[in-house]
Amino acid sequence: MASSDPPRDPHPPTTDERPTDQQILDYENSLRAELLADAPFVSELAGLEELEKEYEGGAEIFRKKLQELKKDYPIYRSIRKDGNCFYRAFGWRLAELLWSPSSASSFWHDTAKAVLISTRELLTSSGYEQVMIEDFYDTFLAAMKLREAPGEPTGLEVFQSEYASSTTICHLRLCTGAELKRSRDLYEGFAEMPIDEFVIKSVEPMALEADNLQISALVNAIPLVNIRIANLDTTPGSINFHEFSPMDADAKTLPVITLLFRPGHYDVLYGKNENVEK
Amino acid sequence: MDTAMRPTARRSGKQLASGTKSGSQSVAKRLQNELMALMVANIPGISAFPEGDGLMNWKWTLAGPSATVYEGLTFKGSMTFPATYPINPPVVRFDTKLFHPNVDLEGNICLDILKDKWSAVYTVDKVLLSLQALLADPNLSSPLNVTAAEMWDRQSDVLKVVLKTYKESSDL
Repeated sequence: MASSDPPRDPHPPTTDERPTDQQILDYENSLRAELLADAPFVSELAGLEELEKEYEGGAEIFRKKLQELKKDYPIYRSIRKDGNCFYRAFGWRLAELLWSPSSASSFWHDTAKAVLISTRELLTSSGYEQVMIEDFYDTFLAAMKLREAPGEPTGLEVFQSEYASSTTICHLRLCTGAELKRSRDLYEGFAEMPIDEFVIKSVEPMALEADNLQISALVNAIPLVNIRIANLDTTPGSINFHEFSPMDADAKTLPVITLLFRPGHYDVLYGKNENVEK
Repeated sequence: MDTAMRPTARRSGKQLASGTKSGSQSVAKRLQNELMALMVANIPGISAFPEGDGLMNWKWTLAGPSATVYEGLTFKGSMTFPATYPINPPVVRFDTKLFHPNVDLEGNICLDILKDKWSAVYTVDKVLLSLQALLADPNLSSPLNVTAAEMWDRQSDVLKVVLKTYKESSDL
């Protein structure tokens, strides 16, 4: 400890009065963990009425938009609010689509399998070292039930187990980063900094939320779905949607993942006739 | 601090396949991969090796970057990996006492990539190279050692304290 330093020390201790960065970080993490303790990474299905309850005392505009939304999307699934929710929601919905009996023998399923298996090459060709990404990749494929992984969690278990779930999210972050680097000319104008820096600062670190640029990149990195995002905000009028479609695929033939966006957070929405994993 | 001058474990023919007591299999596999890569790459001025049983605690050495006040000095430290590595960062500390704006007298380091800017693609060698870069180019806007930060533009004064601190650490 600093107290054992000789008194004539030319550089007096500066850390006595305040906690170290590590302590601050640990404290923040423990607070966050406490807040999140009861929230599953991916929750059970719930009716949109549950969401309406949250807004009972809130602004009229939210209640109006939720009522409107409920007509087409009566069910939702909440995702843990930990900064990874976009990637987690995307991964989960993709898995659900892959497991769905109706997609089992479809052309889409075969394409999806090929695309997801090729994400390793996507990463290595963008400069990620294979030995460093292999674990994420293997866990990801196991999560999608595309690879036998004895002893490792699969499917829903993955999304409920912290390490495997984080690892899967990590793989999706790296796919996003790889796509940004691969087609940097396309994205650079939107990044406000060089793409490599953007990837290091805003894509690769865990717990940093995805914005439009990351979403566009992930949709192109894994061109298997369209993403439709319902914005629950205070702008007047009806609820508005943002659509993201892969550029090099026939978007009309692809399934749609619908998410609900509230500032800083994404949850999953389900349409009336969508197949859902129980 | 009691480990400060313990000799850094070298390439002692340690059994790489001997698994770990803590942490999941994948952490052990990842760390084994990193160890292999580090040994193959053999980066000048940097070495790191697991200490004790398993792979979760490492010791490292780092040569002070040339053309800085740390040139010619060798620094030792430790790296402890959580069971959730590489999703979460290792805890990295200097064992050798070091006078630097972003390192406190207990060896704690303030470096963003070891905190909120950590990502799972960082590796032991990247961390050590970042530490080397930090020695050469401190972040004066968030100092852990305010004295060092305030003195930093007077490099000849800094050099004196750096050498004195280093000597004290070596004499322990």
